[in-house]
Amino acid sequence: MIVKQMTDLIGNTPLLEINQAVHGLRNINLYAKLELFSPFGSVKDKTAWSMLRHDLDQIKQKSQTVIESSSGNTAKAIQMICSMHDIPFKIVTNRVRVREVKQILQLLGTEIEELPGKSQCLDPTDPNDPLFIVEKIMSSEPGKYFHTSQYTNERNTEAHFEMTGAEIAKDLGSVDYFIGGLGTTGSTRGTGEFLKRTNQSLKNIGIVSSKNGFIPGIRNSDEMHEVGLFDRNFYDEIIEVTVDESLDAMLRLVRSCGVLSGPTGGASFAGALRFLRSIDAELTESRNAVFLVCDRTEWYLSYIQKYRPQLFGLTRKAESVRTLSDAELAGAPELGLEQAEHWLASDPKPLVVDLRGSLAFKGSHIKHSINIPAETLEEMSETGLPFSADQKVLFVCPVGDQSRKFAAFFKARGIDCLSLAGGFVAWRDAGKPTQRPSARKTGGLATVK
Amino acid sequence: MSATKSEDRQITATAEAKRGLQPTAVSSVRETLTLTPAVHPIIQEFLAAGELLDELTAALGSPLNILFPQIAGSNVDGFHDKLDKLSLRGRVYFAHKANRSDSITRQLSFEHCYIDVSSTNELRHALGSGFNARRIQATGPKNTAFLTLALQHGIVISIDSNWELRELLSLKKSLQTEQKVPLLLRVSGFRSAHSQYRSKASRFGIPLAEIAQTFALLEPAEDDIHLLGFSFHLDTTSIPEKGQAIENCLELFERAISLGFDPTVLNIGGGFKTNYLASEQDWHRYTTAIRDAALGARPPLTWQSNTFGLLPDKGALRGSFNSYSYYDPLTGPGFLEELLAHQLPDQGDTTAGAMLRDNGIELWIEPGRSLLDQCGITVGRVNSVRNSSQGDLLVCLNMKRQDICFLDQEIFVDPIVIYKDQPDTENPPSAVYFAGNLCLESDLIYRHQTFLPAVPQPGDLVVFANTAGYFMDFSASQAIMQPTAAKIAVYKQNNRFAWSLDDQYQPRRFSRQENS
Repeated sequence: MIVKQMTDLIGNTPLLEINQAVHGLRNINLYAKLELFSPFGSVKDKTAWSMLRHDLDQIKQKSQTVIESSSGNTAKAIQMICSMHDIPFKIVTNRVRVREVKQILQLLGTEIEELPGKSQCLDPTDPNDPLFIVEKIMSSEPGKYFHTSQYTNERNTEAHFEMTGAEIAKDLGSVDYFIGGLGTTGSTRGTGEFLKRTNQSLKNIGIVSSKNGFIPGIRNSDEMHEVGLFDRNFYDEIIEVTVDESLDAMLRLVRSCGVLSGPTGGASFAGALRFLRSIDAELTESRNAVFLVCDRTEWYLSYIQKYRPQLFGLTRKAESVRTLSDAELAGAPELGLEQAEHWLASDPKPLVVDLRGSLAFKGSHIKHSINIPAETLEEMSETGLPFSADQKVLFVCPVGDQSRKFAAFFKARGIDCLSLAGGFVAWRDAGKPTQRPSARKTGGLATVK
Repeated sequence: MSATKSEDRQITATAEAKRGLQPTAVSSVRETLTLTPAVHPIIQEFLAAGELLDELTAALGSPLNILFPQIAGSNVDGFHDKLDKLSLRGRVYFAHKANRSDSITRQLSFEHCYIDVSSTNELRHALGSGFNARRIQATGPKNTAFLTLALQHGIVISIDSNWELRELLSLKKSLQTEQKVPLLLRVSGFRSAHSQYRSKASRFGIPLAEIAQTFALLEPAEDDIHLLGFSFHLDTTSIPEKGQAIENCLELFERAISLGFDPTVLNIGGGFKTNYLASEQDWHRYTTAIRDAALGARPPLTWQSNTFGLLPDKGALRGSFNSYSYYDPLTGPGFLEELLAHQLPDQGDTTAGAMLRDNGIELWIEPGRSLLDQCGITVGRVNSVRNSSQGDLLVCLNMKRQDICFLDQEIFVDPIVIYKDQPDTENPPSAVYFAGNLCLESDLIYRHQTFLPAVPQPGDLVVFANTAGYFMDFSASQAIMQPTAAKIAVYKQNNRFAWSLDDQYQPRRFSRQENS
């Protein structure tokens, strides 16, 4: 298959029949509309393409910048299209809450303007509303920006009427239940409206997140009020899904169906199952249901890790500085300041290992020492012994607590080592010799301390 | 699963009331949108006992501010627990501005606590309340009188501008004080390549763009000053934004070290937030109702249909709900812990806490509101109960809006009504407005409706919980010669409650057990 433009690949996403053993419904055939197959990775490719395709020449001709308030997928898709046409793109948002989503946008070169967090001392004159800020930016330089305005743009809905809805109807004929997450509501509205033409008794089900949870890409019931395209009457039912339910369902899609769905696809699957199970038992004939899988798993790894750290099994090595027992720690070899100073002059000369951060080390340190920050030495110690058996070592940290752990750990492994009691702070405060940066780099008048 | 089901129904019902549908007529089931306050067990016990409260209000009048100084001590410990957990060295400074009470300040001088003062009188008050100079820090913009007193006592001064630094250096020369002045530099205007926040302008601190001038002023003054480190306070609840400020400050440490200074302190200010409500569900239901009302999908539940910053626009809502988040699951020590666990992109994703610990940097914090969480209540007496011209039920209190509202911010937390006679719960009111005692249309204690189990009667007491942090008397005035509240301290020791006038309070040691 040869294509000329990546945008030619937008549309015609496949429809996967979910195995009955997975969904357990008796009378309903459940299909997943795999928008994750779209070239830029999400259902928003259709939205972005539809909002921009007619105006690309104009935008380019007028040297405009495209501006949008988006948290992720729309921004990604718009940026890809803009990049292909050498058009600058800027987003204003207070909703980039997933690290990878922001990183992808940075990789693509999007100009991201983030709104500040909520104030402690509220200022009623400060609207802190992305749409308001977008308008302010636009009116400060009239004509410079092209606002795609996904929350009010009817082309958002049209895209899914013409593509998503028509595609499903072509593949499946009549659909009885259509389920999708609510963000701008463009995809559920457009798709639902088309499918309603082929089956008047179609039920449209919208999925929102619970008010105390955050599911990327879909809103909670209150936030729906801010969406211009939203029309409550269009939906036969609105179902609220928790973060836990979405992630459970997402994992089933990933592990049982081979669908690398993101959390929003999981939310739709969870909502679909909840709704369909409640009616399945009373059905006497076969029905078709379709839910949307909006995007892919990989964008959301940090989000998933936050809610399900156990999935990533970050187990520590059994033997590590962190897992020292209290008994082992109690036996940590320590030296007071005077003794330590004396020991440092002994033969062979002990190595001073400064466990502090590089910034503190740069500020001042004990003479002839080497800086290996605690975290780094801990990693090194998990793979082996970094000191020769005939090398004496003095561990130094800020106040002598961490150095005790390392001294205990390495002593138990045969290294002749000690911890400096009271740490560098005690050493410095007692006026023991330290090495400081030799001279000021700027302001030549100043003298060396 | 069944619990989730019933929640669904509720959400669906709310959603049903949205756009396109007529506001539903008042249903046969009475709607109660409560905002139940979170109340400390000691205060619950005090209110339940009743008798002492009756005597106190009879003797001292309405409004009455009651402080519970012993609770502040446990709050200080809460912050230290988090620092200890991370092996971080640090200090907790009470942001004095949150409450000018004697009893609180005196009690905190007995605790593992320092104090941050922002005016000459706050400094005098801190010294007189038992804080010695080593435990005091001067912050905020300072005039000459404040700087002079601070210099005389040798307290830590957080420099707020280059003007202030010049003034300080020249004052030090003329006063001929011997001790080096311990300084922090408060900075503002943070930037980074990885995030562009449309941050709000700040009136405080030295803009980072001017920091070169600051160093140029400090270098020749090496014998007069001791640069302890840097400080900031950002008016935001966003952890990444504060993380960016920490990153910027770490760069300043590096710069200062290169210049031969030896900074060891980072002061990250306050803003750790406080939770006021017992139930998350309460907060969501009430705020949803305000949004529904703003769209016209339900009858208003606010005075003059105030929408608190939300604007209906062609069936959608614009703007944002201008209110403190009275329900907040991540506050005080918990918020500090989360901030310290934040990864700093410019430092190879090391956490803020590890960065400070490993570099031997002391962390200073300045909690105000969260340090006074649950440390006080405000009590008002009902003067009369009447109807407004629109037929709304008004419960008029012998106090005014400024007696509890901080800079006119609305408080969405139900007061506790103490009914002196058996309340008539058979005929509950649909909702009431609490009004004040000024002859001003705007003097409503609350501009939103409160749903009560029974109509209060004249003489009943109305208790506003958790007012010690900023609410109590921050904005109180004596307009139309109405009195401001008397202030007293109540404490529980040896299993009984005792009280004193706020200015007669003697600090004492409380066991942790007594504080819970």
